Amino acid sequence: MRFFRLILATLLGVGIHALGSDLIPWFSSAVDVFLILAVYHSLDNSVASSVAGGTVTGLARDVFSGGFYGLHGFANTLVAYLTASIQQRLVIQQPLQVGLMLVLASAAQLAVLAGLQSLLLPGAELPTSGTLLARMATGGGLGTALYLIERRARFSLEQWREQRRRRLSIVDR
Amino acid sequence: MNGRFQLLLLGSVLLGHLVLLSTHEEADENALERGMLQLISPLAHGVVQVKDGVIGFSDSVKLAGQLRVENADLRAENESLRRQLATLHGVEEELERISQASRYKRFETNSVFVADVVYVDDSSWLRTLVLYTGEVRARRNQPVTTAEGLVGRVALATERYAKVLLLNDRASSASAMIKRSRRRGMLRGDGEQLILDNIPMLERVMPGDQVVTAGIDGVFPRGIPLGEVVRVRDGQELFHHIEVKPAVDFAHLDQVYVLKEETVPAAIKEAEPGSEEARVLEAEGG
Repeated sequence: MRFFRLILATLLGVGIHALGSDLIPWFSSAVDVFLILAVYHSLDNSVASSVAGGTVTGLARDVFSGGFYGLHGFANTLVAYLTASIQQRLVIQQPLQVGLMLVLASAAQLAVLAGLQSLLLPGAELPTSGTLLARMATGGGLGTALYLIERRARFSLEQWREQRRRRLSIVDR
Repeated sequence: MNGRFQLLLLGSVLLGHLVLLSTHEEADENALERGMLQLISPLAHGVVQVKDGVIGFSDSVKLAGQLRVENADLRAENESLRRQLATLHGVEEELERISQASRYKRFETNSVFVADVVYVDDSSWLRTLVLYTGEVRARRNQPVTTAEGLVGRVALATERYAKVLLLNDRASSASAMIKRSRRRGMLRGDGEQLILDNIPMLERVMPGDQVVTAGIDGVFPRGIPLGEVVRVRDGQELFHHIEVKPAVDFAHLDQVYVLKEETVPAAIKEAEPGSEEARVLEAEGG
């Protein structure tokens, strides 16, 4: 079920990435929807599931990038693993903590990508500091917003379930 | 799940990625990339198509609104033009009555046929265009106009096509007059603009003056708009050098009107006074 949710979220990410890139020319360089999905998945799942999440989202992201196939797969897997490991040691539940986690994850992903690129293709153009700042800002901002929305939705769903349960128990009596 | 297993899992997955990266050179062999592309591309394409569809629909709705406004404007303009036409009908009837009383006969310029422009040659030295005249065969020197003004005259006519010498061609000329003062001159083309010659320095000419055909060259009837004076300079000897902007935009011609009536029949133009031909013509005229 969790893996199915991950696939569904990745497909949704594909849609958002395609739509964003079509509407805003700088979207793909400033926002990495797939990294947000990978980190988000890692915050709520085991290390093994996080590694799978990082791989799936990274390989999906690689379809849209013209470089080596597997670069984002590698970077997202590593970042997802680190996120899940940190989550196990420090319980991250506050929206700001989630935002900070995404900021760090964005920086780590770009660092891994830059390292891999310079190893595989010496002289290749590396991400600029502007890209780094934009990714960190959008990652943190969007991640926090997504977390808040999800928490609110979960809370509303719980309330609805509770009300429904109470009504049903009244009817049973 | 213990830490060692987690590290082992991570190591093997990262190793898999590195293997994938190492096969980059043989891109065609990478089945995973091909598979992901086949899986993801239709989705991405579909999303963009849906977006285009939504934007296209919203544009259509906006266009419908614009068309409603434009339609209302055109209806108002049509109403105004109908009123003007009704007034002009009265004037025309009055003019007809006066003409009949004074036995004055105007030259008819209403009789035209429409021709499609099929080719424009504005790159060569001669500026011409080719018309498709269909069933109607054009004649040499027939005036060609649009609603805006004079385009030129037919220089060559074949069964279904006619070549028109444009007014701005260097070989083109027409008798012209300044509409305000009725002063006659000779208009000629200079490739782009028109030049109005033979207007004396004593004559007051201003930019913005309208220039129309004078109707004395035996080719073009009187009163067809030719253009607007844009620049007046002192010319050689006693005449102005007047630049005229053509009334017609030659770059945007797609349909033109060819005047059916001959301003002066060729037989009359060619007949010499006192000759046998002239006598025959006089006899035919009654």
